[in-house]
Amino acid sequence: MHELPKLDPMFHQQVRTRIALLLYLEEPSFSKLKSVLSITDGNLDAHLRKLSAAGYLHSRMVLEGRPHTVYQLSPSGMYAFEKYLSALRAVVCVSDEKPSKAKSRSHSSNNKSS
Amino acid sequence: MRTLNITNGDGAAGVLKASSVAGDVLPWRDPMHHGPFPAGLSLDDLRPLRAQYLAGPEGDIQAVERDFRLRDDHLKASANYDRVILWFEHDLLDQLQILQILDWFASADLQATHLQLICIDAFPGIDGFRGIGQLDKIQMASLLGKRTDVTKGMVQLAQAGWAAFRSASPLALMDFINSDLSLLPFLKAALQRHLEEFPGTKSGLNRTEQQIISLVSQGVDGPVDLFLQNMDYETALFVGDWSTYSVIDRLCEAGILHTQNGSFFYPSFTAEQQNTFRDQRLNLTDFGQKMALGERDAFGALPRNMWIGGVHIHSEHSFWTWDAEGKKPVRLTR
Repeated sequence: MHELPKLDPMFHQQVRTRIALLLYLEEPSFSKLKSVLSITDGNLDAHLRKLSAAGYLHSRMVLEGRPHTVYQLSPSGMYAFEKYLSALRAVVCVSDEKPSKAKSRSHSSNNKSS
Repeated sequence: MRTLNITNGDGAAGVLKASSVAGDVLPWRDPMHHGPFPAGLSLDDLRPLRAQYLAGPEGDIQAVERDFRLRDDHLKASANYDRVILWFEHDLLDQLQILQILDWFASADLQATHLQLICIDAFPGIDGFRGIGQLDKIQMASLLGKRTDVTKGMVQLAQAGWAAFRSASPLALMDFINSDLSLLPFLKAALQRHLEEFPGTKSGLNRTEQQIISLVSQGVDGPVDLFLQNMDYETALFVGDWSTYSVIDRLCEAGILHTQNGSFFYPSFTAEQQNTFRDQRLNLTDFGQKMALGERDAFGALPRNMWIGGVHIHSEHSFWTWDAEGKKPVRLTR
């Protein structure tokens, strides 16, 4: 029996997974996040608050042009997100060890038609 | 070990993030030496008030309030960390931030989290030390060895100081300043400087306004030069560039200073407008010259409706001033 990977609920939520990925890869502003994710101010705000309340969010004030704040994952946020990504990879590895029913069905269906 | 490092602003936060110091970083990011801090309001209650004040009439209040909310959410996560280290310096801004943060920790359930403080007023090899934001990443990391445990006595002192700062009367702050503040050794000088930002009992000008007028009367006429040279008047710098420009603007509005364009032009976001900002020249008006000579006061020219900590100063009512000679607050009715 395989030990099932645990997926951190902080990141295992569709909007937060995407936010975390963006924060992992770059340093977006609120308006950039909002536009890429196509979500409302309130929705984005709520998810950023969850990340901040876990200590996973860093922010930085940028003074070039009109002053604005950009966000990134904090070191503990980076660590937690990388753990989440590892858990996702483990899910894929475990599932890859067994041929999927979809593949089997597809295979048997092809056999029937041949 | 999971560590949260709390510091005074983005400058120091940037150095900390780039350094070998482990942990997450939270810049406190509030110029607390000006604007409202009325008594009795919690961190959550203060948020919209500070956001409205700092955003001003043309700023994005929602964005400022969002930054405060995310900051406060991170602070409330302190118990998730094994230790919280406060990285600060000796000046007024930092001392006020320490008071607010320690006051919050006084009622926080920290569980096993260890609270520590680094607070310096000098660094070896740096003449005219201004703040930890000017350190490089190696210098910053070297401060880790200077951290001390935050004691119950320090927290209680901060609670008392925070209450005094937010009192509606500066007399409470005077009483606090005259008590034993040795557990937070930079507090007394910083809070004394705070009181000098009340309008002067005789001149009607606060200390920063007086310094700017003095510099202009000596021929310093560029806004950036005024900002830089005003720093030299301070033993513990706390006034930033934007705060300095708002003082210059206020003195122009009051007809004490003027520029070749009439009103003061703030730094802007385009290169062309930036030149207009840099090229403007400040001079004393006739009225300003009389004020510089002590022949006139500013009470009539500088109408006040402002907050300094918990004290609301409104020219149309009786209001608190600072008697620089007697070194005490004086309530004036005009």
